[in-house]
Amino acid sequence: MAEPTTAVKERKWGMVVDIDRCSGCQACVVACQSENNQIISTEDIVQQKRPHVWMRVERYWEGDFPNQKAKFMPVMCQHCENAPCEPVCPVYATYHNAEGLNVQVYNRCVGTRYCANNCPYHARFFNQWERNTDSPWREAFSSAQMIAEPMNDYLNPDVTVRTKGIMEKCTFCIQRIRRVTRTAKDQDRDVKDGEVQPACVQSCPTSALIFGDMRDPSSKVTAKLKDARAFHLLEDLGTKPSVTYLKKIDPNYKPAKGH
Amino acid sequence: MTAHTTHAGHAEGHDHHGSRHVNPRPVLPATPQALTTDLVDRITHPKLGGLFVVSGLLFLVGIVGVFMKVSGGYADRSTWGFYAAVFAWVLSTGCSAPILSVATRLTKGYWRKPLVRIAELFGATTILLVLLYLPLIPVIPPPTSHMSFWVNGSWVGEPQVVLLFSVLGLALCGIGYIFTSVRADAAAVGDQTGGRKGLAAMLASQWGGTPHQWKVMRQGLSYLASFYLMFVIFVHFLVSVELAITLVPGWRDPIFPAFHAVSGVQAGLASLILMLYAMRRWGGYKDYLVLDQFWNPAKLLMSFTMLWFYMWWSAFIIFWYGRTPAEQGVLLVTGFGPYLYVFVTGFILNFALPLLMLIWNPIRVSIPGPVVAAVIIVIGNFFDRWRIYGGSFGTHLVDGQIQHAVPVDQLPIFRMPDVPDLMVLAGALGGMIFLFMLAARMVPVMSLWELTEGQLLTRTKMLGKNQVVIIGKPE
Amino acid sequence: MQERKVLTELQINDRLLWPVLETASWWWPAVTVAALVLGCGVTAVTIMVTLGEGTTGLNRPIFWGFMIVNFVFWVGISHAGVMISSILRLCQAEWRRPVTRAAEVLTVCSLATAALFPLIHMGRVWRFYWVFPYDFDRMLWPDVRSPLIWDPSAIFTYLTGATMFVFMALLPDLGILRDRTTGWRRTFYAFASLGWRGNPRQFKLQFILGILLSGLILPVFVSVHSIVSWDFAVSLVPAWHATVFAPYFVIGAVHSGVSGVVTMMVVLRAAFKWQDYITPDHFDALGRLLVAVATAWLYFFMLDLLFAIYGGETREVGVMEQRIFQWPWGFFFFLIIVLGYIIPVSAWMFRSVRRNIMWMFAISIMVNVSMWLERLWLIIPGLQNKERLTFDWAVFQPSLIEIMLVFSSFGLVCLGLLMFSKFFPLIPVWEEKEGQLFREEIKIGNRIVPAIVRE
Repeated sequence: MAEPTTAVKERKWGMVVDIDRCSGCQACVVACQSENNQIISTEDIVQQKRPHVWMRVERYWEGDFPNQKAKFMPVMCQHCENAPCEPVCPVYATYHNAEGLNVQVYNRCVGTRYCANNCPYHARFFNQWERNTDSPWREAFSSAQMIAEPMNDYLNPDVTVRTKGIMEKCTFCIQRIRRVTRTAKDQDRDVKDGEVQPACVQSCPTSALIFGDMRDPSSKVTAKLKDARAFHLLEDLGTKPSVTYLKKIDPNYKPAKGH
Repeated sequence: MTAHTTHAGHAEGHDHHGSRHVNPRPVLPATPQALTTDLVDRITHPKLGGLFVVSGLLFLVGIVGVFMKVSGGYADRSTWGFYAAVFAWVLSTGCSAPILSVATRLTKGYWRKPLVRIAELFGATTILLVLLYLPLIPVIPPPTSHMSFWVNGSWVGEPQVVLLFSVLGLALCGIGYIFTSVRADAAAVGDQTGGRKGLAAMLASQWGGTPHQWKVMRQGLSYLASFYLMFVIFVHFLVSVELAITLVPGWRDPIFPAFHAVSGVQAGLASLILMLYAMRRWGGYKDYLVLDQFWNPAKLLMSFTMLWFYMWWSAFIIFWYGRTPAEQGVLLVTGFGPYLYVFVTGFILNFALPLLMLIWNPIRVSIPGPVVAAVIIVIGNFFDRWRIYGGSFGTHLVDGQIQHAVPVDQLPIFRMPDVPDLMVLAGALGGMIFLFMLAARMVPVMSLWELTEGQLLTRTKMLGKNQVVIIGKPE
Repeated sequence: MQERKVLTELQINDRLLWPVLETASWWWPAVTVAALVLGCGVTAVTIMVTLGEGTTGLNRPIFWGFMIVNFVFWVGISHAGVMISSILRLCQAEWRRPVTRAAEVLTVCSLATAALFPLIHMGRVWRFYWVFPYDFDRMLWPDVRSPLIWDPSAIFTYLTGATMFVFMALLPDLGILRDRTTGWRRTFYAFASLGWRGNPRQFKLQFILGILLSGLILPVFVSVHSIVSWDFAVSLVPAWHATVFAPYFVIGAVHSGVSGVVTMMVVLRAAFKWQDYITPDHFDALGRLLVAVATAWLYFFMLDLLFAIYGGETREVGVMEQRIFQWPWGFFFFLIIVLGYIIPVSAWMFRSVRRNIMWMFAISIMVNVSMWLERLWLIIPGLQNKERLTFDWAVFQPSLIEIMLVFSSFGLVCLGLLMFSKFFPLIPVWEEKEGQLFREEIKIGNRIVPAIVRE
C-alpha cells in the first residue's frame, strides 16, 4: 500500500473507549459491518464459529447478585505499537505505518493465519469461504452466503471486498482517515480534532468512543489518556495498544469467590 | 575404505606409512600382574607433596572464608550472589565430572577405561564441597515473597530440606558408585601389598572375584550409573529453581534447569580433562592417558559447547521475541542489565572461543588443544554462574507480596566480590585438588579391572598391509 | 549373544538386490493401495482449495488444526534417519549398517510430506512462493523475523542435506546396479552412479564426504525441529510460549522417529525376507536407545508441565487444566503418558521384549500414536483457551476433509518408500559387505568373543 507522503504529519491515531458510558446497543457493530463490507454473520456462519465482527461488544457481569450490573466492552483491533501479529507474518502483509496504524495488506496476504493466532485480542478474521455460492459443491459444504442478495448492492465502494483465504481486521476506517487528510491537504489546512470519525465512533449514541490523534496535545483523546480510569487491555503482555479503555473501579468491591 | 592405520607403538608415535593421524593406544605393562604392581607402586609412593600441602592450605582459607561470610550476616541477600555462584560452579565442575564415566560405561566406550576412575574419584570427593550449600539455607527468602513450586508450610515441602536431602542423596549415590567399581581393585591392591588391611580391606569387603560377584557388580554399576545421571539432573533442577528462577519475579523458564545441567556437564567434562592432563603431566600416568583419552572427551566437550549455546538460545529467543515486560525484566536481570560484562565474558569463554578452537581438527585431535579449551570453559562456567546468581540474588523481593515482573527501575546492582567471597572461591579450587589428591593416596586412580579387561579384549592383526586393532565385544 | 551369520558377497548381492531386479508379488497391490489412499488426500485438497478453508473444522480463534499437527508429526518422523545415520556413523557403531539407508529414505519421504502441509494449509496456496526471496525487481522481500520464513529455510536445507546424504551412501550401490541391469535401467544407473568404479580413491572420497555430511547435517537436524517448535513458542499464545519447546520438540521427534524406523524395519524384514540382515540385535540396540530418548522426552515433558503451573498465571494454569482435566484432552494426556512412556519403557527394559520383533512392532506403533496425540495436545488447547478475553472462544472439531488429509499423508510416505525400493536397495549393499570384512572373533580362555576391527 503506497503511503501518500503528504498525508503523514507525525500522527498517531488512537481511540478511547469509555466503558462506563457504553450501553451495549451494538450500533457500532452494525456500522462497522456495513462501512467495511464485512461478510454478513448469518446464523449459519455463527454456528460455524466464524462470524466476522471487527468491532464486537463483549458483555461482562460485575458485582454479585443482587447488585449485579452488566458491563459492555467494545473490542476491536487495538493497533498495538508493539503488535504481536506483525513480526510473525512471513510476507509483511501486516505492518505498522507511519501514522501508528496496524495495517493489513489484503493483496499481499497469503493466509498463514499466524497473525490471528498471535493476536491476544482475537481481533483478526479469516475469510474461510469462497464467495461464489453458485456451484453445487459449495452448497454441499455450506449454503452460507457471504453477502447475500440484496446486500451486495449496498457495498461501500471505498473498501475492497475480500476474497477467500485472506485475513482482515479493523482498520480504524482508514478510508475515512485518508479522505479527511486529503481534503485537509487540498484546502491547505491541518486536520481538525474530531474531523476523522470511524464508523463506530460516528454511530455511538452515548459518545462512548472517541477517536483522534494521540500526538496532538489538544485533542480529546489525549486529554482522556490522562484520566485516572484509563487502562489498556491485557497490559501485562506489553503490546502497547493504541486503544485506551476507561472504567471506574470500585475500590471497595470484593469478589465473592474466584475471579 | 581402508581401516585407519594404527599401531601400538609409543604413545607419541606417528604413522610410519604416511601423514595420517594415528590413534596411539595406552602403553601398558604387558601382563595384568605387572599392571597391578605398577599401579600399586604409584599409590605407595605418592608424588607432588608440595601441591598437596598448598591446596590443603587453600582449602583451609576457604573454610575460614565461609565462616567470615556467615558472620557477615544474612541481612542483604545480594552479598551472597557470588557465594552462590561458587557453590553452583562446584556443583557444575566436579560433581558433573562422573557423568563422563557414567555415559561411557552405559554406552561401552572402549576408550573410557583409563579415565573412568579419575572421573568418579573427582566427583565423589568434590561432592563434599557441596556442603557449601548449608550456609545458603537461611538466604532463601520465605515462600510468601516469591512464586514457588512447593507446598507452603509443611516441613517436607520446604525447598531447603528437599534440596539438602537430594544433595546428600547425590553424595551417597556417587560414593556407592565408586565403591562398587573400586571393590575389585581394592582387593587386588590389598593382596599385592601383603594382605588386605585397613581401608583396602574395608573397600574390598569379601571380594573373591567369583563370576557371580562380577555379574552383580556390572549390573550394579549400570543401575548406579543411570541413577547418578538422573540425580545430577535433579539436583541441577532444584538448585537452579530454588536459587535462581524463583528469586526473579516473572522468570518462567522451563528450559533453564536443563541449561543448568547441560552447562554443568560441559564444565564437568572440561574440569575432568584438566584433571586428566594434570595426572598425565605431573602425576606420572603418561603411559596410561594418551591422545585417546583427550580427543574423545574433546568431541563430547565440543558437542556440549554447542548444546550450551542451543539451550541458552532456546530461552533467549523466546524472551526476546515475546518481549512482555516480565520477559524484558528477566533478560535484564540475567545478563543484559548490570551483569552484562560478566555475561559477555561467560558467553565468549563458554561458547564462542572453545567452539572456534575445538571445531578445528588439529586442535581437537591433540592433547594441549582440548586442555586449553577446558581451562577456558572452566573459567567461563564460573562467569556464567556469576551472572545468573549475582543477578537473581540481587533482585529485590518484598515479603508478603508476589510480583509478576521485575520493574525496570528496580534492577539488581552489580556487586563486586568481597574478600571472603574470593577466599571461598580459592578454597573451592584448592579443596577440589586437595580432596582428590587425598583420595588418590588411598584408592588406585586407574581402574585396574577395566584396564585388564581392555587388555584381554584387544588384539592386533594385519589387514592387508595395515596393522589394525580388533576390539572384542562380549555380550 | 550376537547373531553372526557369515555371508558371502554373492549372497549379499542376491538377497539385497532382488526387490530391485525382480518385482515382489505384493508390490503392485501395495502401490495401488497407497495410491488410492493418497488420492483421497488429493481430493480433499482440491475441495479445500476450491471452496476455501471453510471446509475444515477451523474457526475463530482456532486457526491452526489437524494439518499443522500432522506437519509437526511428519517432521518429527523425519528426524530418525539422520539421528541414526549420522550419529551412529560418527560414533562408528557397527550395528548401524543395515539400518541407515531405510532410515534416511524415511527421512526424505516424511520430510517432503511434512513440507506439503503448511503449504496446503495456506489460505491462498497459489501464492506460496511469496515466502521465498525471489522478487528482485520490486524489492518485495519476505520478513525474516517471521518463524514462517525460518521454517521453509530450515526444512529445505534439511531436505537437501538428507537427499545428498542418501545419494552419497547410494553411490557404490548404483555402481553395482549399473553392472547388473540392461536397457534403460542401465543408462539410468550409469548416469546416476557418476562414474563409480569402486577404486580406493573413490571409496576414500565417499568416506570423507559421509563424515563431513554427518557432521554438517547434525546442526541442521537440531535446528529444523527447533524452528518448527518456535512457530509455536515465539507466539504469545499461553502454554505455547515456553522456552523448553525447542529441545522438547527435538527429543520428541527423535522418540517418534526412531519408533517409526522400528516399525518400518519390521515391515521390511517381513516383506523382503531380510531376516539375516535385520536381526533382533538391531531391535535390541534401538530399544536401548529408545529408553534413553523416551526418558529425556519425559524430562522435558515434565519441565513444560511444571513450569506452566509454577507461574501461577491463570492463563497457563487454565490451559494446563484444560489439557489434563477436560474431555478429551485429559484422556489424551493419559494416553500420551501411558502409550508414550510407561508401557514402552517398561517393556523395553526387558531384553526379551527388545529382541521380540512383534512386540517391538506393536510398541513402536503405540509410541507414534501417542506422539501424534501429543502434538495435538500441545497445539490445540493453547488456542482454545478462554483465559484472556473470556468472551469468544470455541472448540475445535476436525472435519472429514482434515481427517482425509491426515490419512492420506501415510499413503504418500508409503508410496515414496515403495517407489524407492523398486529402484534402489533399501539396505546398503556395500556397507553390508564392509561390515562382513570388519567382523572378527577373538578367543579368550575357552570362549570365543565377537569382535570388530576398530577403524
